Amino acid sequence: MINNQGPFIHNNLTKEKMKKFYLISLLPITFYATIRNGNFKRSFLILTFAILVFSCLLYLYNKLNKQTIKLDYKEFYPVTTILLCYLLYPLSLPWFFIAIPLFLYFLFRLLFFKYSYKKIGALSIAVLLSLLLFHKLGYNTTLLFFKGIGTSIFTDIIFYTFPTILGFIFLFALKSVKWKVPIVTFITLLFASLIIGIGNHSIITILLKFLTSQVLFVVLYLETISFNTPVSGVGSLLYGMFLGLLIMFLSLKKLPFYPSLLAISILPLTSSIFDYISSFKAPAIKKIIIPILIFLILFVILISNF
Amino acid sequence: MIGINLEKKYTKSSEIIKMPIQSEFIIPFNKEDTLLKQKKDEVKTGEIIGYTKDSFPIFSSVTGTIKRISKDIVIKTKEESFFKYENESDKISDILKQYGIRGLSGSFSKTYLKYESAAKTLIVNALECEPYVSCDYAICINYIKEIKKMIETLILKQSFKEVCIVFPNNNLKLKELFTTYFANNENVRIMPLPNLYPLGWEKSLVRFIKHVDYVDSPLEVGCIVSNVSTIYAMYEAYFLNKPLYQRVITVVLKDRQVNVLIKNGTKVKDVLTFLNADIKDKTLILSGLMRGRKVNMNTPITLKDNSLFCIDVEKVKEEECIRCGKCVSNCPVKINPVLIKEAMNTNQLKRLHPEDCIECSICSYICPAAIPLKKIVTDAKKQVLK
Repeated sequence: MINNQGPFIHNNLTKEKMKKFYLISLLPITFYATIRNGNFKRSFLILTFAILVFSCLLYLYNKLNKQTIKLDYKEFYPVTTILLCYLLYPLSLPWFFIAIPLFLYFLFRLLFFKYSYKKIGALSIAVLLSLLLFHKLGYNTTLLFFKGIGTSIFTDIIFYTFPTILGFIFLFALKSVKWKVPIVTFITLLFASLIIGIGNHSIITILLKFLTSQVLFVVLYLETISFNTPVSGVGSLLYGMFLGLLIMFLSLKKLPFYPSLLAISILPLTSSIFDYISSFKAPAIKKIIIPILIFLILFVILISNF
Repeated sequence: MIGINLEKKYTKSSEIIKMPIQSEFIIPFNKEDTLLKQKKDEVKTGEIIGYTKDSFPIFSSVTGTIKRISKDIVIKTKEESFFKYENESDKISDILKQYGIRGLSGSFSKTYLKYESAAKTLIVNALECEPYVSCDYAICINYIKEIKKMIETLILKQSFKEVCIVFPNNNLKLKELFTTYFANNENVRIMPLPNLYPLGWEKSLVRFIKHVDYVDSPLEVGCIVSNVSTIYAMYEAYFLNKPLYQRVITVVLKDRQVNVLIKNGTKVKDVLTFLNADIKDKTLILSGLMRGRKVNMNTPITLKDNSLFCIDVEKVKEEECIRCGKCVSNCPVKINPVLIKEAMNTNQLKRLHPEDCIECSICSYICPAAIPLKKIVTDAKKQVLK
């Protein structure tokens, strides 16, 4: 397609290239995680099931609306990342923890924007159904990602922490990742860890836990899914802080389903709210929200410690 | 974010080729404009043929007979003879108005309005951030003495306390040239700036140099921004009594880039024939690859256009938005094209301020999904301004 108006040149970084970079960066850790979890068959089943449900829902939607939208997995980021989630995380999630934020998400979308919620809807239903199904099928261990027999913290650092960070740096260097959100989340986590660590002399333990646990993957990959994170700078900042707060809260409360909840909660987390707030021209709103969030972080830390 | 670095595969050309007079010229004319001439009237080069609705003169760029007056004025050329003028006043702004000087950077604003003010800073813009365009560079290389003379006159007449000459920091030739010619001038600052698009835009320049923002015009913060081509046109008006009816444009062909001095109303076809250009399966673009428009062979080139491209254009396929936010982080006016796209035809549109858009096309250029965001935001802008 050539438009009658400029630009007549286009940046080299296309969506296709971004997809490739994303996959390349994820390959080493996915491979390691699959070996570690030892759930090849199960992972394959979940993957196939999710793809099928997603395709069927889109097909049905198109048929019902008499549209001829070509099904080509345009929602690549959420699909890929959610599917990889299945590979990486043993799931143990009660359904209502997904349903409530999902409901809020769609409500917000419907109220404020005429957006292609149909596709996100199809995707979320696919995720929800497959989650529920495999939850019922007994895939509900509460195993943590890297707490399997025979692994040491050094193996995790070498095969998990380094490839994850390097993968993120690779994407950052190729300008294929939203770097603001994970950086802000990381700073929030660091800040909160520091305060907690000063109290109980465990900064190193907390940091090591962060670097070798699935939180690192969540922060560097799931948070950077283009599709569901805010697009504006201020929105990304707020979203990152909010997510840091959520991770800290879940971590400190030691909820049994914490890893899967965290991973899935990012998908329906109402990133649009942050975009909505940041789109106001009045800087006063933005200035108020940031101190409130900092206060909330401190408040959560205080509550969690007592 | 001050801009993006666009690929530039050609080296800048400094040579200026003069176009021979062609048989027919088309001078654009609006319905609201007042025409002083009738069909079959004789006109001379530089003669006033009409006025715009705000009494700004329209000049004939050639000598000849008016063949047709429809949407445009078509002039059949004859042997060239020039219309003679005398300066009606010594005031810079009056002279600029008399000779119809306009901004040649693309804005095409009336230059005299800027010089009526008491601004104390003049920013001479030689940045030329549009890719492959080199007409300003050629003007600087070929007419540096004239530019220097005009700047010195402006310092004297307009009492400028500071003149900042800005140019791309990777252009060493310009750096050497400006340093040599303005070394002894205390009021002049030579400022190499990053070669980023759209840093040449007035608001970006003022923000970058003076660290202040304005609402409508740089005059609010005591600045005047003038392009080097405009400064040269001002020199011709002030010292040579010559109205603005011709300009240097860059013509980019498949294998080369040349600067051509053309008269207002020259047809695209004539320029390409003169340059022996291969036009087979090529796309013709006027006014730059970023902000320009597709044209045909009979389109007249006006003083507003700084470049003509006759090249192969890569076809891109529009895909669904992935909300990567690149359009937002690269937008020089900090608007949110993604949200504007989502909020089209809703009452949320006004809140997103699409009217601030300067149509620089960065959003469309940078979008990995090749969404025509510029068009969407321009449509939203129209909707809001309705």
